[in-house]
Amino acid sequence: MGNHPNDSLLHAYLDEELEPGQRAELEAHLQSCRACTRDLERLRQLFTSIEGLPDRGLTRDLTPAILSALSPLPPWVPSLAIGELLGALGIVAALILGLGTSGILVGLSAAFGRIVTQLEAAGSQLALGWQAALTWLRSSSSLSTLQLPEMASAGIWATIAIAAVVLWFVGNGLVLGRVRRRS
Amino acid sequence: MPCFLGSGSPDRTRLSRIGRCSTLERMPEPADRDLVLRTRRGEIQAFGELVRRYQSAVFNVCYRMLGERMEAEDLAQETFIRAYRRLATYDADRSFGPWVRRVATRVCLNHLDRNRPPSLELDEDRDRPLVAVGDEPEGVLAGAQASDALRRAIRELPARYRAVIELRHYQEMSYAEIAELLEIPLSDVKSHLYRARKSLARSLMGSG
Repeated sequence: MGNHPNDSLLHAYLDEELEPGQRAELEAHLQSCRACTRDLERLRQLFTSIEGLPDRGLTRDLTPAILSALSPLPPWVPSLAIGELLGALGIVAALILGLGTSGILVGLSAAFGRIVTQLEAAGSQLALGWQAALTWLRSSSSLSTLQLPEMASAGIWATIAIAAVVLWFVGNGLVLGRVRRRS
Repeated sequence: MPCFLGSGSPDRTRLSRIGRCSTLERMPEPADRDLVLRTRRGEIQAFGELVRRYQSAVFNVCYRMLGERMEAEDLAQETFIRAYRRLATYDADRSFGPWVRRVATRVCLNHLDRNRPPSLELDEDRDRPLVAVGDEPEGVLAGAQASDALRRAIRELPARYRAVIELRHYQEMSYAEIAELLEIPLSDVKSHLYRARKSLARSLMGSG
């Protein structure tokens, strides 16, 4: 650093905001420049004056007035970050896998199985209706050559429905988590 | 035995003029974190203990920013009320003192932005610096005058300059932290600090 550093560099130096390279360069310059050393010393004295300003004491305890102005807080609900949410889902999955043979989960599985069976039955009805419609359409002369897709199996419909429910819960959790954080 | 407001906290300790000591003097004090968690569970008295610990530090932030005792006390109260309402956003694993002092700075800055060109008269009592035993009376007087001059010089600064001086010199925040808190570019932090210090140096030189 041949030229004198500008004042703002001296400020940043005392604020410990210089990069190591800049700092070393400035310190090397200060060793050989009395004018800059004097400027730095003046600035250091100003810092000392500012930071040496004495605190003032309170003349009264503010606590009673503050406490009388407070109303009970709403129940505190920690908001979940996405990572925490995924972690929680992972724990739930691990619990289900690990405790799959326990009595509670057997009951839950039975209930879940009934729901799946009902969904499959509904899906089967839908598939039958779709097949009937296809038969009717193919029997008509104008549409006999038309290739229409086959109905997916009822199991796939059940899977889609369950996935939609899971996505709804997860999506709401994320959205509400953000709302809580903003508030 | 003197009673210090804020003892046991990372904030500077100052002699209380209230004249009564905490009832917890002989008991181990609960950590700030415990008090915050108890407050969140609905125990308002736990928040009262936090107020007792940090009211002096918060008041001094407000007093440096505003320069008027009554106004500073009002804003200190407002700071704690706001901190209480925003307790859900506070990370209980970090120190409460620095957080509440940052809240105080924002409260004062908002207040200054909303109100008045400042009157430049300092309020009632002059500064009484913390004096070591054996100081010469002339030295004490000179110290008090220097403190008055500095307070007056700070009050003459624009509100944003006061805020950066407060955050850098009294709350020891980095440029980046100040920029984030005040929602201004880093370059503005540097230029505000630079100009504020230049202005303070000129004022102090003029008064000396």
